[in-house]
Amino acid sequence: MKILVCISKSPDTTSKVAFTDGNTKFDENGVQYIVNPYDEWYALVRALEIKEAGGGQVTIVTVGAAADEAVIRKALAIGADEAVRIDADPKDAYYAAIQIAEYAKVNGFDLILTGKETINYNGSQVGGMIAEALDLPFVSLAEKLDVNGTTLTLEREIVGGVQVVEVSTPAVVSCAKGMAEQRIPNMRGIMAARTKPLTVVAPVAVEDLTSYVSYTMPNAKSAVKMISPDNMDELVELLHNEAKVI
Amino acid sequence: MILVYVNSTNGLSKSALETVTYGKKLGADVTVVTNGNASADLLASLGEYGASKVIVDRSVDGEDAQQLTRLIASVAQSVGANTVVFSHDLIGKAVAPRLSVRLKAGLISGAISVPEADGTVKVNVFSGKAMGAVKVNSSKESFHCCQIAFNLKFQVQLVQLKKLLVKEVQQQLK
Repeated sequence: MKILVCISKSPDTTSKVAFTDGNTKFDENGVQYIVNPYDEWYALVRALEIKEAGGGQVTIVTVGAAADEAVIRKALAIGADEAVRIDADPKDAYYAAIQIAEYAKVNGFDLILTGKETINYNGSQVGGMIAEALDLPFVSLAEKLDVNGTTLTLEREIVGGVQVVEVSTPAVVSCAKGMAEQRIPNMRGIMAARTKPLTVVAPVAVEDLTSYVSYTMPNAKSAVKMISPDNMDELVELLHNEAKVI
Repeated sequence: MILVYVNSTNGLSKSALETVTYGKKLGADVTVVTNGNASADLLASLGEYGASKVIVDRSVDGEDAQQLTRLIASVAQSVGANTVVFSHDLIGKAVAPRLSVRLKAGLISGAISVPEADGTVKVNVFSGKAMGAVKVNSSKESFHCCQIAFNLKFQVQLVQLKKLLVKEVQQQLK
């Protein structure tokens, strides 16, 4: 099975979130970038498991600048066979999705996997957009994926239970927690990653449909108010007039 | 014209009502598009939340994102909608991105506010550690609204009841 895994870089989960240029840009000072955890832990590792069980090839693709190659090498160290970097700085999900879709259209894949979202923009958009651009079925937020020939059986959590979905390949799937267990690259993988093929592809002309104008930090949480158990009137008053929940 | 998609397969969920209320807050006439077998009486109750018209196609499978995308795109074009609103749920997350590509309409996911005067909409970013103000560059917008953005009881009091028309259609899907 020929599998394409879409990866994105995102700031390390311990990074301090701050903005510069009048709160219009993310402050990258001192920020360590990693492979977006949903892309790495679930999409990429499940793709490798499928390849290990039934053969095939796992290609990773990202839309990013040359500086992102360290992140790409980490994904190769985990076990992907080859990498593709579409040489552009994506400004919105539509731009990134169309770039990936154009690459996938030319190269033909049985399965395209994405993480359920990136941890920086939390959009959950790219998978569905790629599917529409390629006119393929899309299953969002899958927590389990089994392959039987050309049939994919997926499970995802819904209100009150688990939904089982079957689709035929080729298809696009966004992967959520539970799909696979995180893998730590070993020394052999890290060494092998240095020589694995990394192809740089020129982007196609696509317009951005959305743009971030500014960022703000949420208001600081107010201090906890302690109310005496004997003073129910004050509690009701605060819940009604201040918290406005009753 | 605002078009709101609600999933009425298992009745009308709280998030469906919130989504219609959000659509009404955008300030234009709200048409709801839905599928499934919900009764006309139940769908007519959406008028209490700001809908002025409901279009229902009972032939479309409630879970198939490709069919739903074609249905919503077809209705959006026939009613002249420039904004489509979804719940931030499993179906919304599957259909809204597809619709965005099909209509070449900017998509704002997880909106937590109505648009400001400059057209920007607030969303949570960095897993809730910050908020971003996003604007759509294209002429058609496909908002993907967030369930937790509204205080439903408060909003419902502001919505004037309207006489509601429920129209049953079977779209010719391309």
